[in-house]
Amino acid sequence: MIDPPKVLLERSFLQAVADHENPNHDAAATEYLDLVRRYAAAEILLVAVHTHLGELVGLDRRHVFAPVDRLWVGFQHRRAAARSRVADDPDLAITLVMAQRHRVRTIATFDARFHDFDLTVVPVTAATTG
Amino acid sequence: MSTAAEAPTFVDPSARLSHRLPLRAVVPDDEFRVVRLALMFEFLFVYLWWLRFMGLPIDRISVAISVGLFLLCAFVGKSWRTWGILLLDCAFYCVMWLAYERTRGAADEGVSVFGLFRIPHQLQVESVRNIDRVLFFGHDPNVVLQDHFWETTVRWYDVVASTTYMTHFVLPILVMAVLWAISHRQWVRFMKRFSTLLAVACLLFVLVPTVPPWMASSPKFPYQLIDELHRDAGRGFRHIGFYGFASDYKVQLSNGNGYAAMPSLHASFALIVPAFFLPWIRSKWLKALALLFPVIMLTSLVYLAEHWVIDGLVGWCITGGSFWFWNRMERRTRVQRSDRAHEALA
Repeated sequence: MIDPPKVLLERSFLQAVADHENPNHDAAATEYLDLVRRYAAAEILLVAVHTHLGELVGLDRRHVFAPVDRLWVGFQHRRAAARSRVADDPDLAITLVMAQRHRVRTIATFDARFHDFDLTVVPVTAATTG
Repeated sequence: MSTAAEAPTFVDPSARLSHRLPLRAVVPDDEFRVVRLALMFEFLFVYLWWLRFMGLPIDRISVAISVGLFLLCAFVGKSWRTWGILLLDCAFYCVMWLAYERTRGAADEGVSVFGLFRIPHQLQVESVRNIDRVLFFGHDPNVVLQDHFWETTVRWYDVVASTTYMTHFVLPILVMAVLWAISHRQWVRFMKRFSTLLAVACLLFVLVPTVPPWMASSPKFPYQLIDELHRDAGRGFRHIGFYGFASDYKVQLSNGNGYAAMPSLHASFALIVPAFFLPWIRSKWLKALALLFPVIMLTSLVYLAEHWVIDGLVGWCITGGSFWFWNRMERRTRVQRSDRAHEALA
């Protein structure tokens, strides 16, 4: 594709970046700033599912996540998620649908479940919950 | 704010590599993708049939209809939000071309600025001819090229010149339509550069209305600055059987501004397309080949007596300026957003 590669910031990663109390905050912040540096160099695009960004209420997300573009979830994405093999976990399903539809190959997450799919997961050496 | 503050567990990612599921095995494919591809191929087939037997659609209405039909094919099954954005894009696209058409017309008689004052119609006749003569050591490139190459029979280079000339009516629109279909982000990037070029060109059409070489040489007009030149940009096409071009082309010209020579949009559009795709071309030879296209276009324009050389050079400068400006702006936006993220996390 003619766009730079997209890196999807998954919910657990967004929350870890945004929340100073989160046990993964330091690892997330370090990784995020590295991703932002690569974004500034036009090497990658940073994207996040719009509902995940929307959950971060009370946070001036225009600043912290200013470089992050939203992937808008539509009816067709929800329908595809409901028909996916992980339909019993709607949030995981939606994230995977958005990753597939937008040709995302790299995901920034602390959710161990994403290691089960053909995605490059960052931070590589970080703590994972799952 | 709800955050998952569970105790972390460490997982060795390499241990999971062997049994990773491809996303396509988990998520159902977009069933409309096949429909879209089939419709787009069908559109291509109909377009080529139309091109061969009916002629190339080059007037604004026909082009708008063909682009609209292509977009219908390319956006089938996309979300309502995507359709909404497409409608906004289309509105911008239409306003851009309407503004262009209006300005071209206004340039014929001078322009009144909000009824306060009038920009006079200061026709450039000798100035552009003189600049060309300075550039070419006292020669008129249009006259020299036609003296050496124009013959009563159509030669291979007439076909090349004519084909290159006619790509102007297709190439940028084709690029817009394809970018529209595959990457909205890249479409926006292209349109920023394209509309800036068009806006500056319109401004110059009003400020510097310029007599083109065919007019400056024609006995039908009162200038006759240079030897009479042949003007038949479509004869190469007719030679290879594309009669539709010529008749539509005349319709197009009847609505156009005859003095819109400076800058040459033919030359500008021929540069903007390869220049936009240059970063994706790896090979230096292919880059050089891509940049040869605007050179062939300008040579064709001069040979076909449509433009002075300086018209093309100014067109290229505006195109370069548009890229310079928007590259800078986009870099600045990226840096500003990055700085905001850094400051917020500091």
